[in-house]
Amino acid sequence: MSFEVGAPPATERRELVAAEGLEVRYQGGPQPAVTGVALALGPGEGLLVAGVEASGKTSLVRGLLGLTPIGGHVRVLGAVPGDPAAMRRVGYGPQGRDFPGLLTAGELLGALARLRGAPPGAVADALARAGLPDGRRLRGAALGPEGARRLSLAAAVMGDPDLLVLDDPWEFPETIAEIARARGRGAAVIATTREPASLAEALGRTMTLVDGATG
Amino acid sequence: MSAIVALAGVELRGLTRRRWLLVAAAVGIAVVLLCAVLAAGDSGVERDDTFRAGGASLLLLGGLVVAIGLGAAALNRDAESGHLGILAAAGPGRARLAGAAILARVAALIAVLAAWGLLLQLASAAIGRGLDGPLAVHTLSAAENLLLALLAAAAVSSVVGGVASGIVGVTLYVLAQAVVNLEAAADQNLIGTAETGVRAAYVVLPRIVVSPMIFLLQARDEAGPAAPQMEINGTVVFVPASAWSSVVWTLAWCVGIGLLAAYGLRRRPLA
Repeated sequence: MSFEVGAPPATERRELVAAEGLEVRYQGGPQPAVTGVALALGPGEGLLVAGVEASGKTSLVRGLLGLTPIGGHVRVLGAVPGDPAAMRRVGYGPQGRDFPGLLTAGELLGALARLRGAPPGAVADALARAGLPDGRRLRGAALGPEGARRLSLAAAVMGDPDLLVLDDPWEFPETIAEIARARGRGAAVIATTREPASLAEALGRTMTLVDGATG
Repeated sequence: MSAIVALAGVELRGLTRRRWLLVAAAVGIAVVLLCAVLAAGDSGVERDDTFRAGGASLLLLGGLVVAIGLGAAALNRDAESGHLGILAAAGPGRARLAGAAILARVAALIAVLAAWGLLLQLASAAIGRGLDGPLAVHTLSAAENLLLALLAAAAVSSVVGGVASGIVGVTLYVLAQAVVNLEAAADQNLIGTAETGVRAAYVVLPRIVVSPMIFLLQARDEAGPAAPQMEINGTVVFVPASAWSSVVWTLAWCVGIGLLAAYGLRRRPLA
């Protein structure tokens, strides 16, 4: 598995995310978690990746973010997945259970803000926009499921990144509002879900994964 | 560099809230006080020996627990829990992430050893021995040895689980100690036909740094668990204090192992 680093397709200049033949295969796994996925996302566009449990949704977004080795031709914000400069322009909201339990929300977001070069006040702003204005001193372990999802949303929207990636977000009014806000300022938004419901309308386009492949 | 320091600061904050580490540090402090009480009951050279042997045993055994505990979970647990994933997605690069995780753990180890070392000095003064220079030097040598164990465990923690990482860390520590012991035995012509292999291993492998204090204690068989006297065919092996070249060589190994840890995280999937 390797990245293709040759000349990008002609269409890529206007795409924030472009993937052809995307494959995610975990070490030693006989079957790929994601295979043959193609997608393209331009400024202001949204994409909902839907599918049942273990259909490859989380693997797909982790592959796009460079968190797991991938194959195929993939460009995110004009660079290969995981490129440090490009990743600083990405807002990632992981599934809520993935927060360090010993750090407070403020400490975690503060670290992310420094890494992304977000302006002063970005942490408080993000927490307020995610409906967690008083959550700064709460530790990850004390957040509870709803608090964790709100912290995930705050992590994603902080600093108004060019690409928003939300892994299985809860459908708070704030979630819908932030998706609209991001698209309105020209950012692309990718979200995953098991139950499309109102997110499909907010994102405008839905791609369904079945056993790691598009239907 | 500033990204590494910022990330390490966050990591260190999390580490200071780990209960086992706080308990280990507190137990060490209690052991120092116990050493002082026991030594106060002796006088003269016996007081010195009791205090120093107790302190050296704490630095070895307690320090090894802390070093392995920190190193064995340096990367594997956070890689699986999502902690490293969310940070990696903000673009610091994996080498920086690994560097920060290890830097924080090294800082935590040094903080614990510094606390114990400082308290040992205060306790020494409190029982009328004054400040103990040789013990301070021994604390520094123990810190380097424990750094080696921590880094070895941390390096493999990027690819295997905590137990296996811990075993590797302890194994490298024991290996480094064995290399030094065998070299000393070779110097006393106690090795025989295996001498060439022993000399080669000494040149290549990391070496435990032996302080002048522990050399003197071990030679008199007063070092306790920190350095029990060793015999080959009934002849006592005297393990001399390390030269500066060994101090530098083991530090070089530490740097090399640290780089290995960063390399190990390069291709690992992060949750």
